[in-house]
Amino acid sequence: MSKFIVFKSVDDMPEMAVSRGSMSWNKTGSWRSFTPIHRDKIPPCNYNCPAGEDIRGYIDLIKKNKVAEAFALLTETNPFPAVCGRVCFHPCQADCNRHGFDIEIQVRLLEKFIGDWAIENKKKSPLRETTGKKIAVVGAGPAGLAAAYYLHRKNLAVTVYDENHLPGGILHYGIPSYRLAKDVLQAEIGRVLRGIEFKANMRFGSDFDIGDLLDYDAVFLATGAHLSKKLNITGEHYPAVESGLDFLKRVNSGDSFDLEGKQVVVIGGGNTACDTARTAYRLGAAVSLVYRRTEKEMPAFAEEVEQLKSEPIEVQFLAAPQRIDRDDRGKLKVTFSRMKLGEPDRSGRARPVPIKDSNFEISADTIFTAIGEDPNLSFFPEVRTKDDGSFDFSGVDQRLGGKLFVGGDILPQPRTVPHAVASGRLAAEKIAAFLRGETLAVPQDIAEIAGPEDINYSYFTRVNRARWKSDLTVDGSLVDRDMALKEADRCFSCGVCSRCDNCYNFCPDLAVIRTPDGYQVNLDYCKGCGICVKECPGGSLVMEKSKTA
Amino acid sequence: MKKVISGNEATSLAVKLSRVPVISAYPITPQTAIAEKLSEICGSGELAARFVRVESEHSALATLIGAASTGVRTFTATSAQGLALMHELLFWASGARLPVVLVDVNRAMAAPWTIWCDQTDSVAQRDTGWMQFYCWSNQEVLDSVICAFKIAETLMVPCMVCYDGFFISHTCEAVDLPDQDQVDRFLPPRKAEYFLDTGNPRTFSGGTLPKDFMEFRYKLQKAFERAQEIIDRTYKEFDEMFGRSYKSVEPYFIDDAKVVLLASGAAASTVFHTVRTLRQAGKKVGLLRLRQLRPFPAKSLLNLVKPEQQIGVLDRNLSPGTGGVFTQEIRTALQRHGHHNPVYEFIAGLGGRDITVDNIEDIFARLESGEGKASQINWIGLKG
Repeated sequence: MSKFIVFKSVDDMPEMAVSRGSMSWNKTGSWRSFTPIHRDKIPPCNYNCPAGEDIRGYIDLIKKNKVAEAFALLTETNPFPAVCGRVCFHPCQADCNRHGFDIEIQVRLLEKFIGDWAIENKKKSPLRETTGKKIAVVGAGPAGLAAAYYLHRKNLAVTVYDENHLPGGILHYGIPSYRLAKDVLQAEIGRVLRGIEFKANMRFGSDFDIGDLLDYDAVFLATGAHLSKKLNITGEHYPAVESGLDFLKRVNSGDSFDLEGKQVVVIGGGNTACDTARTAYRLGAAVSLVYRRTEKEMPAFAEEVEQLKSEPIEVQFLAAPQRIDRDDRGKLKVTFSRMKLGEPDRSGRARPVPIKDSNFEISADTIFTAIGEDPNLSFFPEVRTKDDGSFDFSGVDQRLGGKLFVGGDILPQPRTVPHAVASGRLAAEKIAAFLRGETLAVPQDIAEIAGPEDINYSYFTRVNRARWKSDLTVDGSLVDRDMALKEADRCFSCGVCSRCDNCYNFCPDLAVIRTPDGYQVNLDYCKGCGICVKECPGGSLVMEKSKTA
Repeated sequence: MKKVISGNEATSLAVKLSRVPVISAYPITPQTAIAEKLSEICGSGELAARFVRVESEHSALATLIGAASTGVRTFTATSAQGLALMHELLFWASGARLPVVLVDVNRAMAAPWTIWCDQTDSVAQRDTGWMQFYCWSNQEVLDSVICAFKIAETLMVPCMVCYDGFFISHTCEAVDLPDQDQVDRFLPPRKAEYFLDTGNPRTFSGGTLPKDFMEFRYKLQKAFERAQEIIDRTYKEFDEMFGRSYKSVEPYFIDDAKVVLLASGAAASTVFHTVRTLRQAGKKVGLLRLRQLRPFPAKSLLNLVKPEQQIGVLDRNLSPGTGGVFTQEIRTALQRHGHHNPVYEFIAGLGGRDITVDNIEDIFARLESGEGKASQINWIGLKG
């Protein structure tokens, strides 16, 4: 304790003003008006991932050269790292806090690295004992497979039905192999389906029906959206006018097409349109893609558009088809009207408006339409379309005895692989809760997102913005494991404590204590100076006003 | 081993030989080469030390105050505005009785902008509670830095070693480099009575009430009063170990001199040369070289000066409104001890202007003829 020393003489005093005993009795924490709190925020990559991946988490594991652990963590939320590492539109990278600093973390390349590592190392999903409860999954696309995977992980016996010969749905039959190699896809699906029964060539409505599903304890319906929208113009019925998606399916099924020297017109601006145009070009056709709005409004992922533009494909914007004619020799002629952009429509994009007397023609041997797809629900007469365009499945649910769950592209959600995966995983959670007689409580959003203001950029060094991507990759993959470690090492660990010890090292009062879970602030001595908060590189420490006593 | 090196390199090697574990410095001409060499020495592992990079001289000294509080030896170097930026912390280091050693490579204070030598930067810090040594050769630089650690640590008083920018810092001379084990024997690691210890937290230099503050200043003054004895003892030990002897005031041709010029730093060597020449011509002139401003070596000086001698002081610095700082110090010392020698004040070489043999001869001529005035500043080399 404090002793009030009265010095009797100058010789009695020390040479310098120093306490003779320990000062630990002096609880300087009583001076504090602000308190530092270790509180994680959500990294922007995690926040933006539709599949809900802990991206920061697995990057941290890569950093530590723990690739197996990274794979395990990633597949907690997404069983398709090799697929998503190739075709995901990587919204995780959009708000990366390295963005304005040098260049965003190449998350998708890291995901691909993990996925390819798992395939190369022949990682197998563990087989689970099943409890006897049986689940049917209709549709082996990304939503159905994700649901099946997570249901099996919950010790449930799962049977997946699909109308096609191979599982994968749109992943196999929609996405061209130059974007997603079939062997990679099937290797990944093989792992996902381990322990799960797959029934191929089973078309709902013809090969099996509701009656066959009644024995299951729950049914997950994820049949996707495969019906191409109609152009609703004259001449659409000609046989050489085809659905772009059907064309992709046939090509992906191995059908041979000879488009050498043929003129192909693709109508639409989404991913299917881009894939169709690029596939037709690869089969020898001279391709024109025509979209009624401008590049800005194209629903296709920006990356796809970039790749489309890099190929010798003619792209015409602001033109909409008006009619299709056929001459004596079977050659088609599409009449387009020039468009201009008008007021925004319900989607928020500018509505295309025809310009008077602006018609022009393009001749074609084949026309592929790709202006969007709808779910094919013809086998469910009781499904009603609601005012907002979504579907009411309650009639089907009744027939199944209240055991129906729906997901994937049937739902009104963005049609991307990670969204489908998320919906499949959520369905698995809901079904598991349902089987326990509970309803899944969906956690409410949302803690703070760690933004650039949370990062102490002084702790990081910049890479060469112009060169980094090319340094990092060879043939579209990370050069090697060292490069993956290097890339992971750039991660700021935004908002999440990375155990860097800065708070511990900088505290002038030695009030930050290391614990097995991280750090603790010793409030007996913390004066609330805030140095720890300032020096936290990733912003997982915050200052809060102390409650007044 | 003898090596031809610059004054700045002599400093760096002295710091290396003194095994200083914490060094911090911010670059400023003409000091920069010291920091560069030391960072190389630290970076290469030749010296097991932390070279702490900082954003200012203020931070450099603050860093060392923290480091020295843990009981280790510390070093920094600076010049001119850099030293001025440390001003506040110079007091802190001495008040906290931390034996930091600092090399100040003398450079005139701007404005106007200049990088050239005079001593105004260091003499302006004479009241901060630091010892100040001045050197005239590269050998003396090396030896003084090593001695400074020993003296500072014995007294718990920080020490500044000063020498002329460019004239010494950038000029190469043969320097005898002592062996490491000799230096180790001469200068063991620092032992501090009180030091920062996280296991036993103490308060250092905390709030001190009027009832105690004055006594701490008294103790600092007492340390300075004790200092000369420690300095003399250290030079004696140094001489025994390395065979080179130093005194706080070095006399040359003084015994029968009628006229004595006091000088410091590199200019003293010009005076030395001139005195030798004038002696050959039969002139009774002498030189007293001052190697110390703090503690002011009054006793040594008084022992050397005779009542009948005319005294001139060569000041390469200016305290505007008064004059040369060394002159004031010498007048005070003589007056305090009842000496009445007239003291003539010569201001020369400000901002790097050469102090030539002609200048010195001019000074001696004025002193001998009685032309110089004791009541006013005599400017040397000023445009007419």
